[in-house]
Amino acid sequence: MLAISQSGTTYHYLNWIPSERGPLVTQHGSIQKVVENPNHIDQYYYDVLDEIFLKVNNGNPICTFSLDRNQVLFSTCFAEDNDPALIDWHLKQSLDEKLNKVVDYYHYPMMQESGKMLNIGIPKNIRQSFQANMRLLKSKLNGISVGIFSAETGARQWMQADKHESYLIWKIGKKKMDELLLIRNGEMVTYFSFHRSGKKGKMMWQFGDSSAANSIIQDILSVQGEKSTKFSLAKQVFIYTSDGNIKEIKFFHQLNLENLTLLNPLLVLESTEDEKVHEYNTLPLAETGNAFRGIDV
Amino acid sequence: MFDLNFITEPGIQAESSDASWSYLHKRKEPESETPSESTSTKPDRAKSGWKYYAVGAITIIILAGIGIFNQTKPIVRPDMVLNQVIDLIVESGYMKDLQLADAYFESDNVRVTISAGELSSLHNFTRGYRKEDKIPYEIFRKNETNYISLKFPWEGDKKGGDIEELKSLAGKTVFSNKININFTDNEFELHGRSSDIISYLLQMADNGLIQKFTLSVHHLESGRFYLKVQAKKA
Repeated sequence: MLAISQSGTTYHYLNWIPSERGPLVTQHGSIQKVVENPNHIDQYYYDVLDEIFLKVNNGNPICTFSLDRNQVLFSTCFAEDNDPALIDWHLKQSLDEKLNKVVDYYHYPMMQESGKMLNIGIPKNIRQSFQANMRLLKSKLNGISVGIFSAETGARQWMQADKHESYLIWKIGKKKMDELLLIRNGEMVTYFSFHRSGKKGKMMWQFGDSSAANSIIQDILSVQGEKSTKFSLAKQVFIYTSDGNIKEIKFFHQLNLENLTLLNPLLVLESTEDEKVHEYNTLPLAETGNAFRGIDV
Repeated sequence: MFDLNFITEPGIQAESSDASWSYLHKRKEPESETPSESTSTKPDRAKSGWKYYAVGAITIIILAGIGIFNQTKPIVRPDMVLNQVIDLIVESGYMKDLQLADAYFESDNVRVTISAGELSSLHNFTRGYRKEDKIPYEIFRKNETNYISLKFPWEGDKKGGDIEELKSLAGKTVFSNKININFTDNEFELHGRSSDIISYLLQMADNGLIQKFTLSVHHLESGRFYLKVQAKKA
């Protein structure tokens, strides 16, 4: 089983096999691949998959993929009773018709009382490229997810995050542009980006409950200023990064907060190699979480 | 919390989806048939030119000629069927609901039975999986467990093989340390982990033995697997 996650032009992979003691990691690593021709996205993903398949040398693997969030479009809409007609009406009002022809939309329920849905648009050519590439590479693709949502699946599977009444997935980003996803009672409360700079920081974009997002920001500022030793809005916080902001992660981790956990699958999964896991450098593997959906770890 | 899977059909996503894409599922036609533009070549390596059209046209004529003499006979791809069965054994190791119950490799077909606690799991399986291959199947319920039985085409070698070859092959195969092998003059049995059964089946295939025997794979309640290989009767 091969889990791949995309972060810009870097692709992280985690190869594992099922065993009686749960998933057993056999290999992990990353490759770089720059897009040479945006018009040939199918060729690009083919080259990425082919290179990783050669590296893991695992025949025709069963794999999963997690896209970079910049590959997809996010929005929200009101959708009482998940009415498809209402969602279609919303999309017609708010989106360009030409866009609808090239993007496939998926709608996910948010916190029930919000009456809202999260819309995720994925370009049709990306979906089609994966379907065609599986045939060319004689492989099987068991799932496609995206960024922090894949990490959230990992938090549930590796660290039983859903046993907590509420939990926060915190992705430390480049230049302090973080992404955060709050789950409460098994429902998505808010998903937002926060620029952690200056005294107050700045909300960059936000979906769902804005007051919950603002409370989280206060929590973060309080912890960052060492005025608090735990997060109060979420029972547990899972932190990771995909693009190398190790110093930032180290800073928060070394504060020894009561309810902060590194979201690193290698700290939980067994490995065939008796290697010493670098707990910070391997954090980008967090976004391979969708590979473990429905699996007993 | 919802799980994302952009393989499933777009729209409102009420439940988690096990939808997947596999090269096996799209093989409706034999591989040698004129391939479509979108699936036959690597994207950037698709080269146009009269030579390719000419080769394509000749291929169609040859296939049409073959088709006249052999219109109804299905083309059996042992590697494809074996891959499907191995795929199911692997998936049984980590899927919560779907489990391979047994697989029987007989002279003209391979019958694979999969069990599931929830009927919806089987419906999803048929919707997103083998339907496009037009593999005949039936769904049934027995002792509060749901089953799907799939029938793949197969072509056994009438000559049959020698059990001694299987013994020798077992000696060359790398197994875990939890296996049990028994054999008689015309039967060979292997109890082990899924990885042991897969390793042995692949070895049989590599050595051209898989079609020479009648064999069955059973998933035991203990979670272990049991492979039984029988020599064909003369």
